[in-house]
Amino acid sequence: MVALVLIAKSEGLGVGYEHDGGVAWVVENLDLAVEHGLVTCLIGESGCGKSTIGNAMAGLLPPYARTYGKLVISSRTVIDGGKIDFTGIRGKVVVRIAQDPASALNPYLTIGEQLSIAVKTHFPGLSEQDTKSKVLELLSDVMLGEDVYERYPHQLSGGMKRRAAIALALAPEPKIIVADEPTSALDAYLKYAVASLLKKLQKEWELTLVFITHDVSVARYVCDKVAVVYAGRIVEEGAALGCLTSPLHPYLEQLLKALPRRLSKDRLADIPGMPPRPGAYPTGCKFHPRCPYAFEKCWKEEPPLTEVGGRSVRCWRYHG
Amino acid sequence: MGSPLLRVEDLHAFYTVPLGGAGFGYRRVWALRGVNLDVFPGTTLGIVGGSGSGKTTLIRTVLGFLKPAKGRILFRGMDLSKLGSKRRREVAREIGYVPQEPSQSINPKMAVKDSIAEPLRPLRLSEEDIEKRVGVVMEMLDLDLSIGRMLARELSGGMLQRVAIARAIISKPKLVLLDEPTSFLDISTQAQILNILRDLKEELGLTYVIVSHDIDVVSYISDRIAVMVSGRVIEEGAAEDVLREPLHPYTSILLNPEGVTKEISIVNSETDLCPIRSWCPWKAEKCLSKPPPVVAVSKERTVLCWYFAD
Repeated sequence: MVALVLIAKSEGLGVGYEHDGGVAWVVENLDLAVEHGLVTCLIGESGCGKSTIGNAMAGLLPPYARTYGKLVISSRTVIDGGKIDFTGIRGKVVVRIAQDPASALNPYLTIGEQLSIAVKTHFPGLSEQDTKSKVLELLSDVMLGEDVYERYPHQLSGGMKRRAAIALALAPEPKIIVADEPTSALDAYLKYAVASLLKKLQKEWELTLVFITHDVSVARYVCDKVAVVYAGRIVEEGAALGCLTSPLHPYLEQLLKALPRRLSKDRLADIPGMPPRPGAYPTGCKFHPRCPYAFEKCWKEEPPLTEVGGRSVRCWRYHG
Repeated sequence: MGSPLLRVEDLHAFYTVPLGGAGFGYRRVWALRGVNLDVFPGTTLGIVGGSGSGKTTLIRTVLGFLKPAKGRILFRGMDLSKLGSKRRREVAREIGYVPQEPSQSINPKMAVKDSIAEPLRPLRLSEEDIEKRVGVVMEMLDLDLSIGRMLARELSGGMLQRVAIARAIISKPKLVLLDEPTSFLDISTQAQILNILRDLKEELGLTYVIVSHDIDVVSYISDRIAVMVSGRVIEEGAAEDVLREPLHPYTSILLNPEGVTKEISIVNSETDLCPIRSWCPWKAEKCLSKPPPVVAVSKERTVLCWYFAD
């Protein structure tokens, strides 16, 4: 086991977006610790704020974003209250692989040209020859053939484009990769091929991977640690295996019961209602309107994260 | 089992696409190459396959959006392509359709109530009857009546999908075709929709054809499963049999995608040869020279593979 070194840590981090003259807080009081050299998964449904957390970590928040709290990456405080300073971190220490590979690749340049630009930007001293060999190395790292060097993005299949986007992300030799839904909209076997490629690279390059997904089965396959996000906060955090097989928080429990299981015709759990929208989070525990176990305290006061059997969980049921 | 509600016989269909590159002109891309399927009343047929396997094209062809190049589609014994336009429209009412992405298929500026009532308009029912039926259908789908006045664009994905299902069942169809009904939804909304679909089937005695790339979603509501690759059905059988004991190597991969160690690809070439011949573990010389035969392994199980032919 790798010594547990925190590479990214947030303390009471809040991220919101200006909206109608006010600020809609999407992420609130987030305490997340990302350990070096592990795959940490952020699981949650759409609108829960997982992409916002990812963008905050990668330094890709839009100008109309507002923050509070603290975010430290690689011993640098990048978010301090309302101040955001990612100089030297963004695109160098932390990179993000976007959900849609087509948005990361320039349709007018060949894959080789794009990778060369990325390599030259980060390693200005390299000669043409060295740049090319480094690009070819990157391509072979993501298991693409040398012929891809000459090809344009439209000549690649969906799975190959994702690989090319991953190669592009690796070019600056980052420490942390934030992969935002890297497996969405892919066929089943391609999903796992991309996921296992990321896991392989993470090991070989000793990277820290923050894997954002809503797909529990892929999460189970690649992740060491899991943080379940609901309404902009972490409701359960711990080792992936434990969390995804014996969940503590009612939300995760219901979520796992809502997944169709092969050869089982048992009725799926109906989580009533929908996840709350940012800016309209309920009082108390944010899950209480949908929770089958909710009692009075749940809608009055928000539970803090508590330690239960080596995991953190945000639920009043685990208090006394 | 009686006679099938829907029978698809040797169905072929193609799209015409530009040549691309420096060439002018068009070429044909075959999306369906001889599909044979039977759907019996009151059952659910699940169709699984990767992207580009022809699942959606199959549904579009049954609906009449695309003309078959060859083969027949029989609905209650009637050949759909031989029906006159009036009769064809009547039959169309008996086939409901839930499209892939509700936000793309429902008029965003139309009140939800009107969207749901739209399929009833050609029936020339009285406003009162229409109102009543919309109310009943909305209740079936757990849609609050107050939503009726909202515009479709104000609804969330899960709600829109319910509206799409309401539209599909309001003309009291016998058969409902569902094209990836949950692929755009979150896990919790997916569970809600799948449960609703199962309840509706019981309540209304519907027959479903559900298309999905997620074999677990399909297995939850299907009685039979057909696996499609490159425009052909490569395996078909009772859901439990297919899930317990997949015969075709591609089905095994769909069921166990994390076990894939080597690079696999599907060859969508213009030949009728086996689409997985490049990486199949059972590859033989025959596979590279002759198209694979449909082998009936048991009474209700077929597979398209040379391995089972002898």
